Amino acid sequence: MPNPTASDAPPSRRPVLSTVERELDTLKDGMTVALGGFNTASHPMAVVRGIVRRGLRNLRVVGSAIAGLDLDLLIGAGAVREVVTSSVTAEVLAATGPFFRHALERQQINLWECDEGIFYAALRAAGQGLPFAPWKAGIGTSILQLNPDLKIFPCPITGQDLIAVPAIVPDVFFAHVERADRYGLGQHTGSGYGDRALHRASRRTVLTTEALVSNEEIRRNPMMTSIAYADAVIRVPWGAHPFASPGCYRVDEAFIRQYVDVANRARKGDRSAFDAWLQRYVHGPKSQADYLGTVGFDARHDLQDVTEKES
Amino acid sequence: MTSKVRPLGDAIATHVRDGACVALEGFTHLIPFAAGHEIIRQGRRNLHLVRMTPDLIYDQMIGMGCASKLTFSWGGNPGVGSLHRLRDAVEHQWPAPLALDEHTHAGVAAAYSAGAAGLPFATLRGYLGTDLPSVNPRIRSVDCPFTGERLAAVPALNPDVTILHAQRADRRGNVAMHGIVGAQREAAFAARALIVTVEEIVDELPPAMNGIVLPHWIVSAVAPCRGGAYPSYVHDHYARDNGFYQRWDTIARERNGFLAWMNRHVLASRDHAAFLASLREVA
Repeated sequence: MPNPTASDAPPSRRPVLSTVERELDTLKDGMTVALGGFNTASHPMAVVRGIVRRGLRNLRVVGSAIAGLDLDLLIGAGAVREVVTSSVTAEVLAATGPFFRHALERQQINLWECDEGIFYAALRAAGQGLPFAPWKAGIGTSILQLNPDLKIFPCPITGQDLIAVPAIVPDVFFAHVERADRYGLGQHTGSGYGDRALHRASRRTVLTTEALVSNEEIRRNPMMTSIAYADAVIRVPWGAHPFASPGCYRVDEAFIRQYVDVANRARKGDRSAFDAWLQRYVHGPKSQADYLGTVGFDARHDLQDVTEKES
Repeated sequence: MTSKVRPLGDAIATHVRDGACVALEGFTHLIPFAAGHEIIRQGRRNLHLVRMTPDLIYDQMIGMGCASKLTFSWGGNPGVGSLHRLRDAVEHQWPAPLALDEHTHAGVAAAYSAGAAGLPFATLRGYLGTDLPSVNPRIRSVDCPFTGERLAAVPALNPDVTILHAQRADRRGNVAMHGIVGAQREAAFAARALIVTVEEIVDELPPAMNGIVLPHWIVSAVAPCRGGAYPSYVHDHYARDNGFYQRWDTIARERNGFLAWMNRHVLASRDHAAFLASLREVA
């Protein structure tokens, strides 16, 4: 096989290696930004901390179908105008994100109300280049009052009432994967959550990856390629911390409990501990290596035992 | 634990009735030939056949008089030419008239997806600007409630039974397939019953990352059938017999030659193993 040179390689084979800072440079206040992962796994945290550090504002954030405290942190830092997700949670560590709840109760942010079916219908429409997707579940409930973007329309075949879900097209989607190559082929270990749907729906996809591997390594198991042709790939070891990256490390429960504690104190009026937390973990570290040093080697060493929590 | 494992003949007899809407899916790869042959042996009639890409197996079923309607989006012998039995049925109503419901690949995939989601229709950017809607009144349009844009609308497809071939299943009926897939998952979830022939039954499925896993609760029956996709191919098991696809053009060109071949190799064979053995005798 001839080795394609940069000039005759198809566009999809151009190396797309990037850095967190370069990708943050592309963001502007008011953009629609999607974050991958699910619940307490695989959120692109190096980018999330970067968004806070840059002081971006008025973002419309499309969380994963079950967003985690990645989104809660963005709300706490004042970066969010509207949230598109069905839930912001950390399971037993926090049933509902503290800042998410607080901001909603005070109407400081909008919530694009949806269940997971409607969430995916909106992304599917976007991924297929359609302005809307029909959906049935939700007819006869109050979801239509809670989300004025949803409309009832008659089925052109049967005449029955259906819900029209408008497409949601994120300007950029950030996801974290376990492996990717320099050409933008990403592989999740595990299910990959809703990341495929978010990738297809978005104008641009940026991957942070635990490991940067060769194209040959990716091709050894092509069926594992869950994100085909991301627009940028950034090597970020421990990029999902404090959340899990399946097969690499577990959820850092102690770290998340600490976050939930300072966030709850802020919710109740004392923001000093949260501000100190932000300074220590978000504003202070100059790089991912710096951040990992702050988190500490011992904690990370324990988290790498991914068999410990299996039953 | 109830086993879903059945002999192929029993599975077809139980789930495929005369007049049923039946989808055999598999896109070049994993085409359920053995199951199609069993339908022919059991003499099913008036089937509404659905398939994105009707090729040899549908040519055989149509030529043997199993079908009265075909929903499809491309028909042919891939890389070789026309399907002579399909063509004879459409042009000369032999051996029976065949109604056509013609779509695009995207239209069939969207219609299966809608069926799987319990929706009455699917919308897509297709058809409009072509003359397909003029020959298929089932293709309608819908105006986007947000933008006012006109889009194509196709009615959902919900086959009475979908039939697939896969690498393996466990006894509970969980099915794993890997390699190139077409609309199998969509057709499986859209169907009222699902039969899957497999190369092997295993005690426990290997963790095939991202290989399609059809969960046991949508599977009606799994039938062990080695070589069940021959002459198409099964990733990691056997290659496609391209020579057979080429020979089919001659075999199926005339009615008598076709009937003689079907009688000798399919009807005279008790099952798929006997069918494969009869082909070896010729060679």
